[in-house]
Amino acid sequence: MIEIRNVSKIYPNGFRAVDGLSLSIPKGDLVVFIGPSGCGKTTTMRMINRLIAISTGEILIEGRNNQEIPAEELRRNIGYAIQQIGLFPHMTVSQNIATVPRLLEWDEGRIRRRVDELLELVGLDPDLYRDKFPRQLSGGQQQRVGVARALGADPPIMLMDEPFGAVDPITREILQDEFIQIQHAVEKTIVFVTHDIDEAIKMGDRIAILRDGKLVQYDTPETLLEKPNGRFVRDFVGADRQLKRLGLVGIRELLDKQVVRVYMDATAAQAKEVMEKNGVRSVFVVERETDILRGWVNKEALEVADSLLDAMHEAPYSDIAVRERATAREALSAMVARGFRVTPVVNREGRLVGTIRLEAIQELAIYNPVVPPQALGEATLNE
Amino acid sequence: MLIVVPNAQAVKNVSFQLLELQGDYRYAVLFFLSLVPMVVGFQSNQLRRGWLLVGLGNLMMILALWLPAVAAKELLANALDILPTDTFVRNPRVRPVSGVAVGLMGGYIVLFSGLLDLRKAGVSQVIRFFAGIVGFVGIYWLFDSGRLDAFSIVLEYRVNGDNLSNNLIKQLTYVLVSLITGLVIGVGLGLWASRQARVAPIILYVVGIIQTIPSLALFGLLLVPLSNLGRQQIVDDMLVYVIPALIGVSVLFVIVERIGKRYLPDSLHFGALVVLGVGALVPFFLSTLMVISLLFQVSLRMLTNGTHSMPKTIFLMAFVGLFALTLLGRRTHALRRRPLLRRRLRLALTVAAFGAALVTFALTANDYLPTEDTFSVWTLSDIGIKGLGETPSLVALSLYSLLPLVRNTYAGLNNVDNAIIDSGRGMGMTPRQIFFKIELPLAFPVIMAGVRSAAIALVGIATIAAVIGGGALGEYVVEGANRISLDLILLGTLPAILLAFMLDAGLRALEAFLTSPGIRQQGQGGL
Repeated sequence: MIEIRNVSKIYPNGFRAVDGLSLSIPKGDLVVFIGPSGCGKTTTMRMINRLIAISTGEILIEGRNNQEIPAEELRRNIGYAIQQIGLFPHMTVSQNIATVPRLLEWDEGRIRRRVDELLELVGLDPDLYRDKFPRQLSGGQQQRVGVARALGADPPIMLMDEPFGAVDPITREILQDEFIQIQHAVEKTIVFVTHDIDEAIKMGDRIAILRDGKLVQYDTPETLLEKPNGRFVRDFVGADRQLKRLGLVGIRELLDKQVVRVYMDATAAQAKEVMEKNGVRSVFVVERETDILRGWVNKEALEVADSLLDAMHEAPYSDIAVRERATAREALSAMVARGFRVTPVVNREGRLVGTIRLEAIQELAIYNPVVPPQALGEATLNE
Repeated sequence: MLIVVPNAQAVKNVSFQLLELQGDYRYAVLFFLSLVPMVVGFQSNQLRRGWLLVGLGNLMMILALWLPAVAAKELLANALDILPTDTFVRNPRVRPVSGVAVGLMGGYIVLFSGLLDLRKAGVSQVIRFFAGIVGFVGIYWLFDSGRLDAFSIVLEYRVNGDNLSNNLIKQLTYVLVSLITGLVIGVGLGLWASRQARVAPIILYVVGIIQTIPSLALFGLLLVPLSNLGRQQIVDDMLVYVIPALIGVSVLFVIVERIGKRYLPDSLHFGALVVLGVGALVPFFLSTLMVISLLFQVSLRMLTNGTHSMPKTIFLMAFVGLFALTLLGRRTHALRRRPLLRRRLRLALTVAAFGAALVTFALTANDYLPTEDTFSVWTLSDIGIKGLGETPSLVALSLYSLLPLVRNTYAGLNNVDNAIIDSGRGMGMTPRQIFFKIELPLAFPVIMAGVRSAAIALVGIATIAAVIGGGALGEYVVEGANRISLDLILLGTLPAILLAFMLDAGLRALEAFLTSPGIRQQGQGGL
């Protein structure tokens, strides 16, 4: 639990980088600080571990004023990861990760075990990577080591300043997904600074939007997208916030589990019978034993073909289905791309587990009116 | 290619081309041998090409000296017939000229490219090292067995070279002592400059100015103050004044630096620091002078007339062991699999070497310094501080070493990526831990580059010490210039060049040894 109480940072030239900021960060939550550059998000983060001195106000960590804790001791108990990663190039991966444990004078055996454990946690094989030097790693691997190093001494709190900022978009996506998994496992209290709203929505339990050193809105991603307070936040989250909101909804709730299917070894006549009984014009084709999705077949094709196999459109499940862990936004995107009104959903092995209809996603948007009329009016007045 | 000279000073001489020597076609071998590498270049197998080139290079280097030496001997045997009758003949000699030097250099280039090939082909460092020194060992054997005696410089060595090894050691001691002094002061100044943006230009400017003072002028300027200083008694005049002054000023400096930062206005604080810094210069200079002078005298005695052979042997053995360990450890699996053993062994050897060196130093110093009662009447001139001789040379050399050291320390520390320091700070490292664990290791290669360039420059400048009676290799150069004896000048110059080469190689090895592989540049590490 971190409490920021009426904190300001005033530089000698009178510039207020942070201006009377108050917010509290619940234990075990990942809170994202976001805003345009110069909004004070990094400054606020760095005041938590006293890399920048507070001008007025106070920051309480687990109820203790952070000014009362010696700076070095405070920092050793707060994980720290930055965009430029800042790995020590003259030290091996394991020496880098062991930095804080060494500062805390853990014994060597414990350090070695911890390093291996962390390397596995971030998805790097300890035997392969322990003795490598940073320059022998790719950008993505370096970021992983950076995260592992921040987790080094298992600190309850972590500060992360655009920790995935220095890699290409695809790697960033992967690292974000992995980090969400890690966070589920370790449940740290995390302050996460970014300027990428998509990243904020994806990662954050709560998002604090800052502007000119002041807090504009502090809410969960859902609330932020549904009820942005004022034009600044609305612009900042973007015109496609409905779509972004869909990105927060898993498809499991929308799943239609009663799927009409035929097995691959069925005859054309059997397939036709199934379609007529259910009143549909097409069905998915799966393997009998495993239920793995192999393609689909429609009525017109069956009329002219001799067997089911001749008539079916065969395609690997990865090309036509979405995974059951996808978000509504991903399902919608897949449907738009493939021109489907219904998309099959498969699990990790490729078993057909259900379908999603386009209407179900539309309903999701319609039944949650996003901007209440009075909020809109207020926003217009403000401008 | 060869010039027959009747005596050490002669201007008159007779020159020969090797192929001119009648009816003797042995020397044509060299010419054809030098064509072979071009043919070898077409061999595409890197390993085979490398070995061929290494063999050829070594052979060429040896032959380039040996064949002319054989011819020279024959020429000398008939020297009286060749030379005009009216010349004064004493110690006639044959002077090898450009042809021999070019042949030697050509051989070395072939050898070097062969070694490069071998490295790319993955041949181990140890084997490459031994393959690379065959030619040099051969040349030493030629020299040692007297086969090169006809050459003028070798002759000069046989006549005037009794003191060569002592002078070489003296040259080395000059370089090492002034390098250590420069290192302590230079790294300190460089560190200060990198921490205080305001003093950085001042320091770099002053150090740059020092570099432009001609060394002879510096000697002249130091002459009077140093000879006056030499008359002061160590115990009564110096220790009583210098040490309290040094401590007093340092304490004041720290107080003003720490407390002044908080309570004094910015400009006043800075001004006070500058005043104190200048005030500290005098006692600081005097104490440094005493330390380096003593260090030099003791080290020189320790290295030349070593009465304490036991610790010296330990030192040498530990050093050789350390070197072998570094050389072997890179490739040997047994050691790589047990890094802890290797680390302990290395630590033990390092401690042994340092310990032995310290013990030798202490024993020598004990011999050199008098017992307590006579020490009280010693003056500064007794530890070498005089207007002429070694101390002014040391002062000049130390001053000249400052520029590369300060500049490289400053640049090295300044170029450490801020993100790296920030993450160190963010993880809770203290400023001292950040300096020793991050900044210093990362700046180390740059600082070492400064040390190397300073060392090489100092080998050259140290020859000037002879002008004011400082001795060392410069003696031959000064003497040779006075007597217009080219060979005597060369006798001082060639060892100096060799010394510079070896110092550079040694410092490179040290650098490679101490630099983390994570920041070592590709293609480093000699041979």
